[in-house]
Amino acid sequence: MYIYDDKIEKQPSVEIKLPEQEHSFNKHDLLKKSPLLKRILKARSFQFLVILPNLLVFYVIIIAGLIGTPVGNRNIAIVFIWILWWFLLIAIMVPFASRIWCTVCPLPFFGELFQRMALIMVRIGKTFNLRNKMFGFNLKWPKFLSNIWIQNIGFLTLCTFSAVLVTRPFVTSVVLGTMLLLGTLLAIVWRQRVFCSYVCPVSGFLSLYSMASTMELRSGDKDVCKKCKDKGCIRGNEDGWACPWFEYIGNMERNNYCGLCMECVKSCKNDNIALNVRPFASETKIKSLDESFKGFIMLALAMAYSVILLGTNGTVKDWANASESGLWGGFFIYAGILWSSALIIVPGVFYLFSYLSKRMSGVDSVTVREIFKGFSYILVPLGLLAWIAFSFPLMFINGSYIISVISDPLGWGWNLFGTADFKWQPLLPEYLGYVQLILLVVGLGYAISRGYFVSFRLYKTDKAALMGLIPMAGFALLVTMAFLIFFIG
Amino acid sequence: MKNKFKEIFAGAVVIIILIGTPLAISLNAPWMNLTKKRVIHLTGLASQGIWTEDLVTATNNGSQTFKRANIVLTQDEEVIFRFTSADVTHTFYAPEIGFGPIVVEAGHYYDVPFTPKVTGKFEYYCTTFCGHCHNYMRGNIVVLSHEQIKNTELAKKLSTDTVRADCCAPNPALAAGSSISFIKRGQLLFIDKGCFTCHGQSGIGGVFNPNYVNRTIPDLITLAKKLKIGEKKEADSLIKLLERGVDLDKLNDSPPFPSFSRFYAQYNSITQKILNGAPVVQKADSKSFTPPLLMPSWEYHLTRRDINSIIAYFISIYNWDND
Repeated sequence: MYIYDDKIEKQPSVEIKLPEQEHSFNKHDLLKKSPLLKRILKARSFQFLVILPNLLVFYVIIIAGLIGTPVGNRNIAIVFIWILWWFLLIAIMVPFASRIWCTVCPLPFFGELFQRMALIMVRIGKTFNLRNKMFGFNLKWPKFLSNIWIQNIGFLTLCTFSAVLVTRPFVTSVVLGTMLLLGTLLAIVWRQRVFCSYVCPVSGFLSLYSMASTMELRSGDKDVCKKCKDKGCIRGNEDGWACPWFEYIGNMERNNYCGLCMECVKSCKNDNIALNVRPFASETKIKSLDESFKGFIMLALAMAYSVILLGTNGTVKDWANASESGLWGGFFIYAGILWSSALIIVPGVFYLFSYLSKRMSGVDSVTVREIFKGFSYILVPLGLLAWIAFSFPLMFINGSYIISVISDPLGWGWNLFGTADFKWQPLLPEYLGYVQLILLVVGLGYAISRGYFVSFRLYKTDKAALMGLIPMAGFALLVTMAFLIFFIG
Repeated sequence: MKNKFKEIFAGAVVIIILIGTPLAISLNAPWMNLTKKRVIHLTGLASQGIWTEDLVTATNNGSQTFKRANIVLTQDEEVIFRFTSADVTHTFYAPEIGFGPIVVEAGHYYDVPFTPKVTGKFEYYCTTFCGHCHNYMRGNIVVLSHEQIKNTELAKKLSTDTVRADCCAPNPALAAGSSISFIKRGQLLFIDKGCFTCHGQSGIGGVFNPNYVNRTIPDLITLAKKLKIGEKKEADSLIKLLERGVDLDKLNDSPPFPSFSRFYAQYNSITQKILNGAPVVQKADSKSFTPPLLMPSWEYHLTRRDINSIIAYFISIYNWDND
């Protein structure tokens, strides 16, 4: 992201700055190992075919949320979105396959269809600096909004109403429908996937947590990219559309803003795209404060949800669920605590720890702001594992609803696959505490071990890096302890 | 050419999905009656205290007031009752006509065939305590003969709603911090909790409980007598004690009036009945069905002080001139 077309217009003389290598991890290119996978990803119909079934399910979900049963655990809108999808997304897709959800997400489907006037084929032509013919107004997204602040605020707003959102099929439907509409309207007015890049609230946290993923799409050899005259990946050509995410794979060093649409796999004339498998939490660089704050928001939300959805305090639950309890005064207290925790208290505490880190490292040349931003990376493995730990009970306790809802998605008494009367059955509830404990400890381990890389990058020497890491490791430990109390008591 | 064909095919698939999905869903909607028999849809709704024939969906639930079902059937007409619940588990029961009990879990559908053999007006109930509006979950099944059914006026009259429409509206006077008196609170709780649906308006009793040995639910306006309170003076002192929240157990050693121990025994028995409920009642015909109206447990719905305020209210309204 952050590559603007005015820069690209100067191609091919544009100078590509290669990312600095910090620490190397072993990577294995899946496209080299599996020619079949390569063939599949190179097929023009690939993305259409993977979105299509999702589009159908998504459509059924929206309809079910509007006219199906109001009973949440019998309506596919609630069960599929907030149990199945959420668990698959946070516990499997993000940690193991980066932003693979964006590959199959149906939200930008109609917007992209409008822009391209094609479902499978590529249109050649000229649209601003691209070599693809695109429809719509194709306006440039304002530079001051070219960050994830809208996603941060949007996600926090949605999550403030989560007690209603995750229990009322109608509300879930309206939110999904609104996102679909927004994705379409923005695509008509602005260029390419501005909805996904800058607006979609889900995309915001996917961008942050995909840094930890064990999969990445990268240039196979950056020197080849540097010498490449075609630059089909970013400008488009007869084989593929220009990257809808405004990413140039030639200098891409992070997963954050790559939606894995695989257009570059098709358009690269040099066959120089690699789909790498790599160790968990291989990227450690937070580039801007909007990303740092996404980490704080996610952390505060995970804590809030642990209390509201998994906790036993009835008063707080009633406050969060004001539409049913009628306790609007309590709701504003809850919302106030949530927002101030996410945007002021947790970042404020982290800032203090950053200051401590600077003092302990003895390095004066780095500002506290840089330390704050750099170390906010530790919230990625820490937050992601905490979210996974939070999501396990959702799936294991309520997962059996999926089996009954598959046969009766609208709660209308159907029995499509003979499983409609499958009784609710929690899976291994007695072991969930141990699973959560292990996940949190793994998150803490990664936060500290990867935190050292961050610390070394900031303070340059081993000793200073170790000393500077101590307060941040303490912060990570405190957060882990807090989650342990929330989850296990 | 090959690409163009693919594009057209893909477009056709998308169009089929967009049009075909809602079409396929609506053709299989519960209101699409594919049988020749008449299907009566009944949805239990705890939040409004009704069984309704209206369609309750995710969109209108919570924003719409539904109409209580008062069902008119023709004698010997074969119908299918299709039950569902929009919130919690309910039990549909019309004992006098031999229909039910049918346990209806939230979001599930239950098709139950039914053929009424006798004419008359029969009350139906919910016999699973389903929330604060549970006591209002009742209505009528009116069975008319083939001749009577032609009289639309009669059918309309018999199926008129007999339960107050505003039955479940929360009373703001009972909210925390309200300044109403102790006795007034008892009176309002009696209404708010729906006690009157069984114990009668103002506690006069007389609500028929099918197959109950005493036929009707006990009144509460004579509660002072049932509590063995001898005179108005004693009643007034007891109300004051209850209002002050005095631990009556401690008064056994120095009773405030001579018959206090008899009162206290009765008081204990009644409060236990309110707290724990009375799930078993004597049947008039021991081989026949269980009477549908049973005293539910109020342990988690009323505080000890709430219960005392209701008792104080009924002690206060007792007419001592009748003694």
